Amino acid sequence: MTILFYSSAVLSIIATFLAITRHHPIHALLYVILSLISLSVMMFSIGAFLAAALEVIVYAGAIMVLFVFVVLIINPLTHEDVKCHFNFKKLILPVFMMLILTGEFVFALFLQQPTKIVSEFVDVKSVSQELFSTYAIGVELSSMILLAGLVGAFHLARRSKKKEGEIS
Amino acid sequence: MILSLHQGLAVTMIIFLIGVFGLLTKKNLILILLSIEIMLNAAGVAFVLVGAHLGKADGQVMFIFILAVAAAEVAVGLALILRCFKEFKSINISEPILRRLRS
Repeated sequence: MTILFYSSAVLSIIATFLAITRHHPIHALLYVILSLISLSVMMFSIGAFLAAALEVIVYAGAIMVLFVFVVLIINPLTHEDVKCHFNFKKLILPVFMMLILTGEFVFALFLQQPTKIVSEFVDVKSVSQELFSTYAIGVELSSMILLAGLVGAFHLARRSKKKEGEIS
Repeated sequence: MILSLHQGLAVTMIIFLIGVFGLLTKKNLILILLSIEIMLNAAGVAFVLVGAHLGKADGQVMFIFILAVAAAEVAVGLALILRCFKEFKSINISEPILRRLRS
């Protein structure tokens, strides 16, 4: 199982890195889908079955597909920013802040003793029992937020009929 | 070789930082939103890893909630991108568009 963990982790890092260096959005999206599926393999290898399955179904299967549809609608075939000229002077402050964040991560990670990653497999039944008893209010709130997202997206993407004197 | 929590969290940390770098340097609106999604997913996987280490179900529950929030946010964000494209005929952030948005 460890070789599965390491290989899928390395694959997802490489795929994510390739994703942000592409110019065409479809190439970047396909690499991100690959990265999500390999992260799901990583989660399968440590026994988080529900999370891994949901990542493939919801994240790579619905959210990224929505991205792909929008890219196909917008159809950005123009190569306006083909030569992605990095303005290095403007990048100093963001890269510096990112280096601080990296340092904090490294400091927090290597401060403790290495611990085993899997104490026992968390199966689907215990996750769903936990979800609907302890975190039931979170389920209600996430349904509210999905409703809000639905209404907002519907209103924003609606074709507005402009008539004389009508406020859109 | 022992599979330690630190290695898993280091993997999610690297993916998160790649997402941050993509967010800061990209000009295409869709790629910026994609970088935000990469960051959200990395945080979710970190939750799942810690949950597997502790042997509790809370990590995966948190991951489900992060998934729901990311889905709602992507829907609204893409609708905004569609409106932006309809208005400016381009989805690359550039100086004229920023100036026009500011006024």
